[in-house]
Amino acid sequence: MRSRIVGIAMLCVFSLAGMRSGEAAPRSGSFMVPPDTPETFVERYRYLLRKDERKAFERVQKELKNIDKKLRKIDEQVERGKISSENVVAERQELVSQRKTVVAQLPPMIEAFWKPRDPLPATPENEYKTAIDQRIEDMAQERFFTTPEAPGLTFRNNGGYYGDLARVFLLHGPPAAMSTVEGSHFVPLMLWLYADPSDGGILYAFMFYQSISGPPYRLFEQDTYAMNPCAAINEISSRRMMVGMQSYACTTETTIVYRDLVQSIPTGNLNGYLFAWALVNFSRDPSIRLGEALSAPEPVAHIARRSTSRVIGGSANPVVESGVEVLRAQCAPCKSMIPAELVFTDAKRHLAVKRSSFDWFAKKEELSSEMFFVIILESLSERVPIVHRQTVWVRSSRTRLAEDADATLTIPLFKPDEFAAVPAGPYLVSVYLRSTLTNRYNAWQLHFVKQ
Amino acid sequence: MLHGAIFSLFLAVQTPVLPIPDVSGWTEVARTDLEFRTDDYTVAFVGQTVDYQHAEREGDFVRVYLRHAVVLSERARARSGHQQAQTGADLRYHVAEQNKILEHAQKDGEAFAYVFWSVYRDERGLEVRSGPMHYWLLNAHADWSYSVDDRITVMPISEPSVDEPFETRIVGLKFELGTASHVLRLDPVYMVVPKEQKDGGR
Repeated sequence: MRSRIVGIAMLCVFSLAGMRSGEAAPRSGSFMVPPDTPETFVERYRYLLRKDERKAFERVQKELKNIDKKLRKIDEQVERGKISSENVVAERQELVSQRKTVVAQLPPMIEAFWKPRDPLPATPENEYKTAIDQRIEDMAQERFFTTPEAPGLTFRNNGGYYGDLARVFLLHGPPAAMSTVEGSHFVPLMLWLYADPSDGGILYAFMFYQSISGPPYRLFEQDTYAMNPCAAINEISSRRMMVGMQSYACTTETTIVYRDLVQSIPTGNLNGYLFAWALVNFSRDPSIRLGEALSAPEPVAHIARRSTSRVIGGSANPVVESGVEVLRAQCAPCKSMIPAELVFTDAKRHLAVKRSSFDWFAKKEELSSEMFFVIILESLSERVPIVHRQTVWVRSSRTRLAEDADATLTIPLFKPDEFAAVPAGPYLVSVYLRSTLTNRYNAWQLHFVKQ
Repeated sequence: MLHGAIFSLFLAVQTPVLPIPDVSGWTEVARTDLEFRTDDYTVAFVGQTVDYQHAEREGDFVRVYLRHAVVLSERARARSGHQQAQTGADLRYHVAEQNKILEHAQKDGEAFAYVFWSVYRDERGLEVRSGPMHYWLLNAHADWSYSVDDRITVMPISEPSVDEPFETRIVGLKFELGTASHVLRLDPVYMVVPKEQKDGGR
């Protein structure tokens, strides 16, 4: 059954792909949606506002409402001739000025609302806002319901901008597959399926149903019926008479309704089995619930903040305490490289670096440089390599740097006793050297036979 | 074409060791990142190659190999399908951050290898190489090596992982020209994957 459902969903994923926003001709007549202004922001984007965000906007709106109320009262009194308009000029101006100040709080709040929702932060456009506004426009112009799967439907006749259809459409856009079905034993149903982008399976199955008396379509709450399929079937029965505990009972009527639904022939590519499945299932993933899909989506920037992805490295900008100066290496090429010679024999093991090739911390006359190095000796016979890591401080002075910049300083790589402990034999030697101040580095790899 | 050939002949006969090419005034025609994967999630950016074409002698080309501070970019190790849907957002923010850091690092790119070659169009209209290829490579102590037709070889270098000594990972690229070599590689410390990431946790 599950594979069949997934298969059907896969078939249907692109069935509505042709109906892209703006392609269909708008139907005549449209319903009003709140315009895109700071003052109507909450009404227009109400389903996208999270609880904490809503509170902040509502506080401002409350202030506006109070001011508007006072202004209306003054205007009414003037109109009725109770007071002269000249007497309230100052008061009115004060209120208008207050109103402007309050309204001015909204644009930064709105910007702060959209910014973390921008899915492509590298582009100047906020593609999420563009997509949401396009959905609103599509709803207002009734562009969505022009496919054969939903004949005669409009948002206007189904609660308008504040109806369940509009809410789902605003949050999730057009579904991958849609179908309606009618039967003699159940009320009209409509199913919207959204595909999981990772595998094409059913991510969300929004079921809408009408009451016995007809439109509007309302959301069927699968979360409520997940544990009681009979109650779900009774809910859509066209002869629903049960109340209280009766509505949970599995009766002969329940069986008839179920059989009628399964054997029904819905519009589009979906079938009756899928409608029956969607009565008690909202997603192929049981952990995803209807309530979660209807709540305001978490901003992508917040999701990204929890991500375990990381970008490390890059050029370092040294930060030093006061009184300390940074003297960068004077060699070329030295932006990312530390020119140095590796000496690795049985007798000597060190790195030879010119004084001018170091990055120095300079404190008055004194110079110091912190270098990190790693040596890995890989033996052909031993599986576990010998790894030697160390941070060393190299010291010099400004005078020496000025007078003899080309002098070679050595960084010892192994102490004699450490090297003596290395077993004889052939090794692949890897050496890595990095300036901890600027992240400049150099690396070597050579073959060496220890006697 | 003729200029290129004369240039090559002149260099081959008169000066066995050529100075490194000066590409100022040349036109950039291609740019590619020098990168490698250390595992399924991680890409290391170590440099770039930039191809230049001479503004007047259109058959003359120089490829410059640039190195910069290493940037290691590791995308989120997602676990379940539902999380994968979110990973799309993660990835876009991650790529934006990666590009920002990479752009900063690439500004300080400096050359460590050059290749010069010339082409001409034959009577069939096909581009044919004219003269030898010239190669320059900077070794670890910042001396340039030069060769004609003995090409620069590039090979990945691997090492036992710091946190998993029994696992070997690619840590860098080794460029060789004759006996000279130049290594671009990661800091071994970068190779440690935090445990929660290794388990796929988020």
